[in-house]
Amino acid sequence: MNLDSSSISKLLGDARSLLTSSETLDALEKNQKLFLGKKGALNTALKSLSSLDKEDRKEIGILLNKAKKDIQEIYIFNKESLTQKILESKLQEESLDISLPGGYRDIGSEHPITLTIDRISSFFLALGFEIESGPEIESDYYNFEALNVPSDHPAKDMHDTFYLNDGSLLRTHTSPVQIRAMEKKDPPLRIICPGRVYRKDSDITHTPMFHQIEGLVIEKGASFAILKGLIKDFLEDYFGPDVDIRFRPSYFPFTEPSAEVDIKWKSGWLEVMGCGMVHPRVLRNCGINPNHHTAFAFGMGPERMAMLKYGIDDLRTFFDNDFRFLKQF
Amino acid sequence: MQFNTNWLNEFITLNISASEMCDQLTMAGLEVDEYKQIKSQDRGEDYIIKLDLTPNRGDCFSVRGIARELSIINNIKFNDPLIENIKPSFKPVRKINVISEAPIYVGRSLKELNNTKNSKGIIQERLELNGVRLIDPIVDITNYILFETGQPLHAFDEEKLVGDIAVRFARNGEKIVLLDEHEIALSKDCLIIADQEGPIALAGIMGGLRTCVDSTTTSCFLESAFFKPEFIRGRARRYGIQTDASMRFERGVDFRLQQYAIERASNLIQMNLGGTLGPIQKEIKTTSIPKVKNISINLEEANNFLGTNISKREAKKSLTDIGCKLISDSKNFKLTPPSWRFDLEISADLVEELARLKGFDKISNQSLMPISVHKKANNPLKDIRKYLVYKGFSEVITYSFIDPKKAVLLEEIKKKYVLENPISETMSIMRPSLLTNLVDTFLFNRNRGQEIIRIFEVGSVFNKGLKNQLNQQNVLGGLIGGTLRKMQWNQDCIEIDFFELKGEVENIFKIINQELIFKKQKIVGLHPGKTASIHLKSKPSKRIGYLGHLSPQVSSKLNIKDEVIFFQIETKYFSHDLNINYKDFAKYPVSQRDLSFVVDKETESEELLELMKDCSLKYNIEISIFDVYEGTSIEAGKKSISFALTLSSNKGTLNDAEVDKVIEKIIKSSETKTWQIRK
Repeated sequence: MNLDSSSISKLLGDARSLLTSSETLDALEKNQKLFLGKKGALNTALKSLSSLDKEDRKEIGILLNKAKKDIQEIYIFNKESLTQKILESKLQEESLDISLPGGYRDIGSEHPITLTIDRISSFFLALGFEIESGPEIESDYYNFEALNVPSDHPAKDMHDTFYLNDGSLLRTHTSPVQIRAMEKKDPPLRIICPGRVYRKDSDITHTPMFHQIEGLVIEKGASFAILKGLIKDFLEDYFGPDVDIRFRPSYFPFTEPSAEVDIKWKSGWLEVMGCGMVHPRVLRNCGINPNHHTAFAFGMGPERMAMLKYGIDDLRTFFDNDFRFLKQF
Repeated sequence: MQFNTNWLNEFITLNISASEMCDQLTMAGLEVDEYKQIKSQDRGEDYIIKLDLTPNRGDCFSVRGIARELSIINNIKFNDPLIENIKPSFKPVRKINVISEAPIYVGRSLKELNNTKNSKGIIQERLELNGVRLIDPIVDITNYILFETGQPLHAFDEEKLVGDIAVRFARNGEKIVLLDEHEIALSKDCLIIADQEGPIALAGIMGGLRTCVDSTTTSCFLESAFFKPEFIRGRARRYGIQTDASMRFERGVDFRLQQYAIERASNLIQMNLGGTLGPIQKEIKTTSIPKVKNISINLEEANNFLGTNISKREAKKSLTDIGCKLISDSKNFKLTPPSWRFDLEISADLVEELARLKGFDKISNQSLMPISVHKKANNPLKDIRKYLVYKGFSEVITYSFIDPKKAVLLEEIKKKYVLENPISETMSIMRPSLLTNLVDTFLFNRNRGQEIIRIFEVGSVFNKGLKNQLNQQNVLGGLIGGTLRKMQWNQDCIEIDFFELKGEVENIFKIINQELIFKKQKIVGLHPGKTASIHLKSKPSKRIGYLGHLSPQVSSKLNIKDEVIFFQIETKYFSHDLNINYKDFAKYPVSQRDLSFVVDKETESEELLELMKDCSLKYNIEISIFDVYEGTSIEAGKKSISFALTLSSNKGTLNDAEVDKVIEKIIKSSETKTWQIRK
C-alpha cells in the first residue's frame, strides 16, 4: 500500500464496505483482522512509516491512526449490530405457541353445600356465635320429646322419620344439638349448628338426606324484635341489601311465637328460614329457667340457600357428585 | 284444608278480593298454598283456597273456623246460620253409655227418611268443589257439617244397630270391618263405639261396615261426639287410615260444638230428606270435659319478650277478639281461652297471639350486638379442606346410608345399623366407613369419562364402640383413582400409587404440625400388602386412620380397572399443635454421600433410615431415597435401596475424614443385619 492520503482513504472505504457486509460474526472477525490484525493493513502501514521523511511521517501517521480508530469503530458497531441480529433471530426461532395448554395438575373444588355453610357461618361467627355439632343417630327424646313434640302428636307428622332397628332414629333436624348444648353449657349462649339431617322423603324437591343450619341465642334481653333484626341483617348479608323480607306466623312445637321468613323471589314470596322464641317448656327441659333467660332460635336449609345463590334447580344434583357439577364451584 | 270462598258467606259478609283474602290468611299464620277461580252455581264469583294448616290451628280446620279468623282480622261480625228448633216426634230409641275418654256424646235418631234422592243441591256442589266424593244424601250431609263446622259426625243405620250403644275401649281379640271394607284387629287402647253385637265404629276415625247407611236406609242414628285428642292420636296412623274425622279429633275439636253440629245436620237432613226426629240425647261426663284454665299474662313482660310496646287497650281487644274471656285486668291480665283454641294453654301462647294479631311485620327489627368471645383455635379442618382442593381433590357429599350388598365387599361390619323404614334396600344400612360411598362416586364419574379422580368427603360413620355402644365418628376420607396426570402434548400420563396418597396424608398433618407413623395392616376391602394404619408420632399406639389400595378381588367384582387408593382419618385428631420449638440449623456447607444396600424384600426402608440416623447423632443428617430396585442384577428375594445422605454440623464444616467415619459406622452397624452394602 502506498503511504499517501488517497490510499488511506481507499483503505478506509474498503474496510467499511467489507466490515459492513460481513454476515456472520466469524466473517466479521476474519475481515477486521485484514485491517486491524497484527499483520493487518494498518499495522503494516504504521510499521513502514519510518521509510517516510519526517514531515510526511507525521502527517501520514495522523491519517493512519485516525483511519485505525475509524475502522475500529466500524468494527465494534458492526459486531454489536450483528450480535443483536443473531440474538433476535434466535429469539424468533424460540418463540412459543403460548396458546398450548399449560402443563398442570388441575385443582379440585369444595362442595357447594360446604361453601354455603361456611358463608352462612361466617356471618354468625362475627357476632360471637360458636359452632356446635352432635350425633346424627339420635334418641326420640332429643329429637322430639325435649323439643316439646310428644309422641303421637300431629306435629310429628311434619317429620317423616327414619327409624333404626334398635329404636333410635336419624335426626330429622339439627335442633337436638341445641338441646345438648343447653344441657352442657350455661347461658348466655350463642351457637350455630350446621349438619346433616334425614327425612323419609324422596322426589324432585326432597332428598332423604339434606342439611340444616340452626342457631340459638340465650341471653337476657333476647327478644322477638332482636330475632327479627338478626334475621334481616343476615338475609341482607347473604342476598344483598335490597332483598325484600317478610315474617309470617307459623308453628314449630319448640318455639313460640314461631315465624317463617319469606323473601321476594321472582314474582312471589319464597320461604327461606324458620325462627321463633324458644318455647318455655323446651328451656325448662334443659334446666333453664324461662323467667330468667329468654332465647330465640332460627334455622335454614343450606341446599335451598345454595340453589338460590348459584341458580341450581334440582336438589338431587348436590348428592350425585358428578364432576361436571362439582368442578363448577 | 280446602274451601271455596262462597261457603264463608254462611258466617260472614266480607267484601275483599280473593288475593287480598289469601294475603290476610297467610299473614295470620294460615298459609295459603294456592288459590284459583272456579265456576259455581252458588253466587257468582267463587274461589278455591288451599291452606297449609299447622297442627296447632285445629280450630281453623273448617269453613266456620276460617270465617271466624277472617272476622277477627277484618273486624266484622261473625254469625252462625239460623237453626230451626224442631220438636221431637218420638222418644229415644236406645240408651247411650259413655266413658270419661269420650266425655261428650250427642246422639239423635231420625226416621222415615228418603235417602234415595239424588238431587244435586248446594251441599253436593260444595263437597264436590272441595274434592269430597258424594256417597248418599245422609253421608253427604254429615260430611258437609264436618267441613263446615269441623265437628265430625257419623250416621249409623238405625235398623242395623242391635240394642243400646256404648263408647268403650276395645277388648282383646275384637275385630271390626270398617267402611273401607278392611278388617282390622283392635288393640285395647282403641276407643270404639259398640252395640250389643260388638264394635260398630273406630271412635273418631271411621265407622263400621255392618251398621253403615246406604240408599235403602230409612232411619238413622246420628253421632256428634267429643273424643279426647290423646285417645285418638296415633291410632289412625297405626292402622294407616287417616280420615277427615281423625285429623280433626287429633288436633282437638271444639268441645262446645257437638249440639250445634247435630242440630244443623238434622235441620239439613229434614230439609232435604223429610222424615221425623227423635230428641237430642246428650251424654256428658262433666268432670272429664277439658278444663278451661285461667291464664295470666303480664303485659310488661310480654312487651319485653317481644320487643314491642303493645298498650293495655290493644292487648285486651286482641285477646277478647279471638274469644278469650277477661277474668281480671289488674297488672296481670287473667283470661280464659275459647273452647276451640286447644293451642292456648299458657301465658306464652297468649303472648304469641298478641304478636300474631299485631302483625309480625309491625314489630320493629332490632340488631343483635356482637359479643367478643374467647375463640377456640381455628378449625384446622377448614385449612385441610383447602389443601386438598388445591391438590386437585373435589369434595363430595354422599348419603350416610349405603347398600348392604356393596358393604359386604367393602366394609368391616361388626354390627349393622339398619334402617327399619329405608327409602330403598340400596340405602338401608348406616355406613361403617366412607369407602363404599367414595368407590361409588369414583365409579359414577369414571363411567362418565373422567380420567383423574381425586375426591374427599367429611362425614359421620357408624360403628360398634368398645362397650358395644353406637360409636358415631366424624371422619375425613379421600380416594384417588385413574391416573395422576393426564397425557398431554408435553407430558406423559402418570399412574397413581400408594405413595402419592401417603404423601398427601403426611402433608395434611404437616399443616397442623404433626408427624405420622404408618404400620402395615390388613383392612377389609383393601389390598393386604398395600395397606397401612396411620398413627400420630406423638401417640403411636392409637390408630387414627388407614390408607391402602382397593383389593384386586373387590375391584374385579365391581368391574374397576384402575388402581383405586383410599384413606380415612378421624377428624378429632386434627388438632393443631401450635407449639413450635425452633431448632438451630447448620450454617456451614453440607457434605453429600450416596449409599446403596441390598436387603431382604420384606425389609422396610424405615429400618435402614433409623440405623443411619442412629449412626450420625453428632451431626445433622437428611436422607432421601433415590432408588429402589428389584431385578436381574439382584439376588431373588432381595431388593436394593439407594440413599442420598446430606450431613452437616452446627459447629463447622465437616471434613472428609469426619464424613468417612460416619459412613464406616453405618456400614459396620449394618453388618449385624443381613444387609449388604452395594458397591
